[in-house]
Amino acid sequence: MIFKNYDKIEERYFQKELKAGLKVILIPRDKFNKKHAILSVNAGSVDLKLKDSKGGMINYPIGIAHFMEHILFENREGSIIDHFSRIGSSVNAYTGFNNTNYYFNTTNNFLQSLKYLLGFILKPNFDQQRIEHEKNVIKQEIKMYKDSPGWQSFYQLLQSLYFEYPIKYNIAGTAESIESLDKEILEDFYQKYYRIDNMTLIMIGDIKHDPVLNYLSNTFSVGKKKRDYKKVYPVEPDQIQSAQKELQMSISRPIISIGYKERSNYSQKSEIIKQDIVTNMLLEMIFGKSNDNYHNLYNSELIDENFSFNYMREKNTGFAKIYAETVHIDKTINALIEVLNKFDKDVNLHNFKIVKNKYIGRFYRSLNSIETLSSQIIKYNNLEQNYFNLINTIESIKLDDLIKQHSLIFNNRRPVKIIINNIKDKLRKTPCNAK
Amino acid sequence: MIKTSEFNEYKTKNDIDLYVNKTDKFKTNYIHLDIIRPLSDQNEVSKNALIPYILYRGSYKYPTNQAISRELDKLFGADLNVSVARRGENQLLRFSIEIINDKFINSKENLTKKAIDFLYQLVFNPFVVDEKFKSDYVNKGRTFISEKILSLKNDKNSYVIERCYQEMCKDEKFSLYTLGTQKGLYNTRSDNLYTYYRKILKESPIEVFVIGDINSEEDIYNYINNNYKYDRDRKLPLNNTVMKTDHFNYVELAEEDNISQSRLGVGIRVPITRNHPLYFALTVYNGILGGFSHSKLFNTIRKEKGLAYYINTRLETTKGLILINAGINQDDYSTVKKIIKEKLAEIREGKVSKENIEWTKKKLISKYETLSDNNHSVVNAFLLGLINGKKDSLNFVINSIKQVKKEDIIKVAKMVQLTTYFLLIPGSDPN
Repeated sequence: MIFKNYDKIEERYFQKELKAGLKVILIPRDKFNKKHAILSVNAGSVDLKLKDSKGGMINYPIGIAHFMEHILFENREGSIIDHFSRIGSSVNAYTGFNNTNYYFNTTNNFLQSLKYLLGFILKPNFDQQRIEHEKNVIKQEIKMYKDSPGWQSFYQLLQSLYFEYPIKYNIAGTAESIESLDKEILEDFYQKYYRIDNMTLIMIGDIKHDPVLNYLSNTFSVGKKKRDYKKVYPVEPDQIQSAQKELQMSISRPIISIGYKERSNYSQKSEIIKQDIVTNMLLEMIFGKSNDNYHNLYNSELIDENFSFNYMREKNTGFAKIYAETVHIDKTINALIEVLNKFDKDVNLHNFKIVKNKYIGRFYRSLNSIETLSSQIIKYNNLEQNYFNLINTIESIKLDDLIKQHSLIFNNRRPVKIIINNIKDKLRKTPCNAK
Repeated sequence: MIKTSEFNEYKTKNDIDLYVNKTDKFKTNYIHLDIIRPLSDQNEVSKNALIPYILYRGSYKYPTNQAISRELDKLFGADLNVSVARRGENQLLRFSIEIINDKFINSKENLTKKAIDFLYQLVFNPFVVDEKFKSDYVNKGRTFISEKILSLKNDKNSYVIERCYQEMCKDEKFSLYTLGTQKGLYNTRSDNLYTYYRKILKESPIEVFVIGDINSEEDIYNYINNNYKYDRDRKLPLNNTVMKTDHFNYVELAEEDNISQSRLGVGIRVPITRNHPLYFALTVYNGILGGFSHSKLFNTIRKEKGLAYYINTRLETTKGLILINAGINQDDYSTVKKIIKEKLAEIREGKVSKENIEWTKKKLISKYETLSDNNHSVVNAFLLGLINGKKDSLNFVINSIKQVKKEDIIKVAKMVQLTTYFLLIPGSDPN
């Protein structure tokens, strides 16, 4: 059991692993009304392959983790959601690359909500009819994302960056891939991945420790079961899958995104966190609004307020993405790449200190929102790190770290370019059966 | 008991309304300023929309956008936001800054006061050349707004909501898009926007909010009272909304776009706003219909029939509008339409379970309780109350919701009128 005070940031942190292997994290927030709990299952959209003890491989269809997220809500007499509504709680879930997360928010009925949450996730009952019903809902969800230019530019970037690694697939799968799902496959996936020792429960709010922990300890008192298979992920080459892709959508003007792939030198887990912050700080130094590059690009009308950049580091993958909306497609892409390549020539210690302070400010701001905090804790927990230590990591970063990372990820490396062009505008008014 | 803190009301000597909320809940302090204008015509709306984006390019003290950004970065990455919004038939020019609380850093300066100064410089002390805004900044603002108007259609959902409002409120001010129009932008190309802006600053209500772990409210009041200098002569009211009660625009319209999923917007009129005795019954009504995951629409259209991934309703509480919003298959349009009509009728006929009412109330109460855990939401909710002349405390709101009776909900149901269907459908290949 770990209990730690983080005086500097005025936070407290409690962590315990129960006999059955469930990891529990509790963060007290005495001044808040909202009480939040999230059960994070360590199985996301990239989890498609297992190896059994005899060396046999099990493969699952793309989108299965997301489908599981939907179907667990839907599989009983009366909807799961109604249990929560009855006591004024809200329940929801989301599927990421590495996790599926089920959560509720409540103000008054924490323990009861927690029982409901664990109940519906741990005692599923798959029904073929509900499975077919949910396929329709998810097909609508896939269509909705398909129409979003921001989503498309992200998805296409991943498709081009990666050869093998399943981060390249749509989290929800495709209309075809989910069609093959049935009761049997889902039960099998559930049995393999929804083990209690493959989950973390995070609770944030003004929550009474003792009754909650007693309940959890009693419920999860049976020892861990043996695992006779392990998760398998493909080995991803360092280079990019394809350098350029163009598509057309109904948008007001073209969208470009440029992606750089992290080499697959999977460093230590604490190093991954550092790499995440270092690369984001590096991008801020290169493209941040305080420095000349941004304003030169802006004043040349190559970028505008929609310009953005970020680096996303996950368990086995990392990539940087630069996004802009522009009519000068090639000029903007070339200018952005040029700026990225010349960073080492205009590094500046003063700017570095300011960027560092900016990240410190941002860290504190992130602690205001319970939902932001819980998603960060999940991300850090995947890497066996504590989010509250991030402040120390930020403070420990040196300019040299950025210079080194620049040479590794950007300097003269081949980027992916995604261009979304505008389909010729043709909005027509058609009267439908008038009232 | 809800853990909450309230705003205390102050007025500066030059008639700026100041609301201060001292709370140690958050790790940042948040300062927000709204200038409130009537939505009048497309030319004025376009001019108003331009202002924040011109000011954002540079002020007297921080003459370029880069200088502004540098100052923000020095303030530990303080988060500056400028925007334009519509609440009822009012156009809000919004400026806010959020800054880390001093106690977390070893700073000798008072960061919150520096942020208050910064906001003053941005809003009241713009960069002016020969009694005009710098033309480069005006042009950049124009390009920005023009692009923003065009890019509305990139987000199909927002587009449908806006188009549905426009059709529904066709000859009313509410149909004016928050950012104005291309025509409005063009019409006002030769206006002196600085002269116009001085008039705005002089005559408009200006509402300032400070929420966070400040030393004392008095201290903040004195500081703003002494430093927010401007020669003002406030003439305009906080609310300029006209409620329409009859002669609605009944319309059903489809537009084609190159998309894969159809998007539906359904407009409903309701002659109830925040200061109406049935207002709290309206919030419950909206929750029963489509505000939550146990609501009638979600229950039938998604959970029962699997016709949509999302279907929800939103309430415009200053103008009195409910908007239903969903992503569906074009082929299912008539089915969905039929279900919506049925659900409206059910509530009208009192076919609402006791449970549905209870659950909705609990969810609404929980929503208001947790609202006080977010500094931005607290400001936004309070401002809506101000505009509507109802400065209700959270405790009052929660109590009022508890007291809503089924008869009240049925009364509301009998007052609503479905007027508008707007459907965006997949179009044939434009070539």
